[in-house]
Amino acid sequence: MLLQQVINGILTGSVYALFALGFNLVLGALNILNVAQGAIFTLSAFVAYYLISIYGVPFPLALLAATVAGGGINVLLELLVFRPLRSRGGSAMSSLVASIGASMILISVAQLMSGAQVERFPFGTLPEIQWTEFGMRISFTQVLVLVTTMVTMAGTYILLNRTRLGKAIRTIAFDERIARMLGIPTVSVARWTFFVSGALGGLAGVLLGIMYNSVYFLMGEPYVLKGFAAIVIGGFGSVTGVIVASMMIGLLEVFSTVIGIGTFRDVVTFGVLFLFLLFRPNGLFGRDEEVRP
Amino acid sequence: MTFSDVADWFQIYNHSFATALINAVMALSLYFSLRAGIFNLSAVGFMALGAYTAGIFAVKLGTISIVGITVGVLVSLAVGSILVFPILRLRGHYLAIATLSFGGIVQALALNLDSLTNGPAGLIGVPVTVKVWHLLIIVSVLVYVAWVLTTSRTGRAWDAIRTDLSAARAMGINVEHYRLVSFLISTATAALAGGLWAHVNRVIVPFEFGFPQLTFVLVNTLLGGISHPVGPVLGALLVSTMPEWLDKFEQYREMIIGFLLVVIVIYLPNGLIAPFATMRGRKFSFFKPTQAKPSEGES
Repeated sequence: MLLQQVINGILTGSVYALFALGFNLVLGALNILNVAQGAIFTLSAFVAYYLISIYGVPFPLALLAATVAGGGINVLLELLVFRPLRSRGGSAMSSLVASIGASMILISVAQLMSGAQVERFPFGTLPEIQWTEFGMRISFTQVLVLVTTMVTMAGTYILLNRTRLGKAIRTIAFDERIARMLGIPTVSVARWTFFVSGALGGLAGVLLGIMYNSVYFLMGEPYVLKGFAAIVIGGFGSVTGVIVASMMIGLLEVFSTVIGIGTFRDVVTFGVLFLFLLFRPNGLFGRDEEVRP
Repeated sequence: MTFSDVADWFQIYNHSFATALINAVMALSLYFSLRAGIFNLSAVGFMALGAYTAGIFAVKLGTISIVGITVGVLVSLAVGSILVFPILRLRGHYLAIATLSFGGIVQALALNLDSLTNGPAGLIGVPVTVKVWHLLIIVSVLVYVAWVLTTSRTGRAWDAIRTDLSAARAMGINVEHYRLVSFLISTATAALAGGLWAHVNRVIVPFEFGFPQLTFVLVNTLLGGISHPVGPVLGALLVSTMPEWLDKFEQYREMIIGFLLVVIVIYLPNGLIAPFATMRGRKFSFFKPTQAKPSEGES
């Protein structure tokens, strides 16, 4: 029973981690808090749902397409919203406000598309297999979600730490001007950062949609706030920190359900977020950043 | 147009006009924060707190409206004065996250504290006691208060803090004090808007205090611009009456609001009022970064 809950916690935590990693990437590298990530999460889930239910696309292909779509939407936002804003000398706060507006647009697209209905994936999208071991029940969907998230997290880690693009992203995160002086094409690297971030958000959306088998236009909203919690607790810009923090949040939510305060689990999460902001604003693994004036 | 035409018009659009005026109060709440450079997104949370307190007092205890609204403001001020200390230690994205999360907490509580708030179904049967003329007086008084504050020592301190916090501190301005004042005024105003809203709308539903509402408040405030207290009111009245002239586009309302917000931030960062408002002969800028190095930013 306890082990079952731990597994559930890790499962939801790992989906949070994907979402928060996308958040953190754009925030760390470009200093933009892109709230529209939550809307991308929703839209990608819808893309996968429509591909599967209307066109009968097999799940792996739909997952891939929705992930790419998530990245694509984010690149579109970069082109249409953040790039013009940057070139006109907008501040970090104005990008946040713009992303709130962009998010509103995308959410209402999802709402109009779905007619505010809660959609469910057709039966047999994934094989209905369950294993019962050591008194736990684990379904094929859960295994798939866990494997996909683990592979993606490892992939993101390698991308950031072992590739040229990752090096460029980290340089920009350190200082954009220095990166430009070193000859790094900051504009296209920024675009790629947005793509990877949106793809992570989109992937998280599809996985969550299939895990709870429900897709609807407001599904992304709570994840924005959980993503905030994960990046604050983990520390701005830290990949390991965000993953650990997301798992912590997943476990925290599961255990608040176990001890009977499940309806208040969001309150518990935000309470922890506030405590961190208060006592450890740089998070668990965050680099020291000047927070106070 | 005769007098009775005008009276008819008011009769028909009474509710939308009242809503527009409450939006103006919310926009002024955001104005008080933004003026001091505090990117405070908690206004919707405090609005919910004010609305629910007023609603609970009216429905469950049966007190007269003014008691509930006043208690709502006081409760919000109490919560605000606890939160203000951790929140004002933060800057930039951290502050935005903390204040946004506060809104999330309030909404989650409203959804789940069934015995008090009646959960997702909402609190029903709040008496409609707030009339349009009450709201007109309140908005006028608030604009006057905002104008007096803005042109006073406090307003000059806010402007200095918003432009460059460290420089303001170096000039000997008590930064903490003025930021605290700004935050608390903003909190009280938001709670007042919530209490009034409860007595205009009859029903209080948790979903009304979510992300769309925040977007709406931001659009109202920034469309008008914060260079003059009239700006937010103007913005709120323009945007709130928009559905009336865009009747056919009702279902696209949220999309239009979102689009408007993006366009304003990119192309009209100082709002509509900016060209007319030369406060004490100086140009006003809100979103433009200060002369600091770009890598440091103003956050």
